[in-house]
Amino acid sequence: MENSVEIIGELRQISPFLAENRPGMPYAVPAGYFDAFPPQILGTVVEQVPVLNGIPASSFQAPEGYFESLAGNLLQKIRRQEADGGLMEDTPLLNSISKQNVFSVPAGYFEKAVVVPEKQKAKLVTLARKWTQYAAAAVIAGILVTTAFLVTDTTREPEYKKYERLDLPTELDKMSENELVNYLVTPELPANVTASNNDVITAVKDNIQSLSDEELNQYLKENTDTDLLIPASNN
Amino acid sequence: MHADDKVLLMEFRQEATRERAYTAIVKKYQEKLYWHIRRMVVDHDDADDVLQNTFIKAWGGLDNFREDSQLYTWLYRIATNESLSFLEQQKRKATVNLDDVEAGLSNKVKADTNFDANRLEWKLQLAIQQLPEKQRLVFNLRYFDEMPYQEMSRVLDTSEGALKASYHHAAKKIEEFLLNH
Repeated sequence: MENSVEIIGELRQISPFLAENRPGMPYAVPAGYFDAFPPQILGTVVEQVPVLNGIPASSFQAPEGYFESLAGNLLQKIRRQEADGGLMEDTPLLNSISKQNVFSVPAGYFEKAVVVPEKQKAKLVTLARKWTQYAAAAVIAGILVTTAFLVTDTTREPEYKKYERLDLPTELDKMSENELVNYLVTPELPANVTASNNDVITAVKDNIQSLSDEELNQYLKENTDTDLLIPASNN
Repeated sequence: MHADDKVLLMEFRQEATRERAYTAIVKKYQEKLYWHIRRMVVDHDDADDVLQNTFIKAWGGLDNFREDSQLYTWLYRIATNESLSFLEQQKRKATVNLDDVEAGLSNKVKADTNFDANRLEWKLQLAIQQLPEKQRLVFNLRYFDEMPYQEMSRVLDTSEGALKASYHHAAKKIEEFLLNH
């Protein structure tokens, strides 16, 4: 337990000036204050804070039979409120006022009244119905886009379409006889021929070479325009 | 707990001796608590209000006082909290910031009828009012009440180390103020 000497020693280390001078409290207290305070505060606490041990927690009393009849009284009150909207119980003055209309209406008002068409009720769209509509719209849009893509894409025109537009006899007339012969011997493969088709083409080429000119001409006659046929006697 | 405090508590908890025990407790601790409060709030009337609030709370709380600390520690704690609440209330009423509150307390010191700026004890009070609230409390309890740090830590709910540091800073600031004014 610290004593004054230790506390003064501590202060001397921190502030020698304070330790040497030790100024005190300058405040004054009104005369007799501490004599009057205890009875004054006792009076205050006894008055404001009742003692729970000695004094009943509550000094109030309920009428005799109050709680026994309480449930029944409450039910009656509730039924009356439901019947008259609570006017009799809550606002007896209001309930005593006559319900007769005090306002007057100009003569013939209701005969001339303009009938305002009833506003159509807004169609109630449930969330589920909206969802199915959105889904259907998405499917249709997808179909339309796909179709448009397929139909309008002219950049991917099949290769053979180009040749359909060609004037073949004119084009053949431009070619020399040697070019035609060379073609028949070593035909160019189409660009889109896959490696798997190469074997087929090679086999066809071999077969063509094994055919005679008469056989070739016969084939051409049966399958192409006769004007394109090369007379057999020229070979 | 001190033997006489134990007896007083026992008597307080009996209805027949309650008021007598309470009066005895008030007489025993009223001056210590009054000066502790007065050093915080400065004005006598304010200190009287806070002291009354302190003992009213003590009346309501003595039945449940657990006696795990000294009675005077418990009373000091109530008095400290009531003083701080009072100062907080004054701050809100005046709608001023913290710096102005401390300036207000200095003005209250100067407004005392016995104020003498040349006297060291009045300068000390002015120096104390310059301190932050916590340092002011620590300095007052240590310098004027000579309260041990162990008890002080229970009153202020602060560690002894923090209290020692706080007292050190407070004493240094006060010395500097006194030497410069």
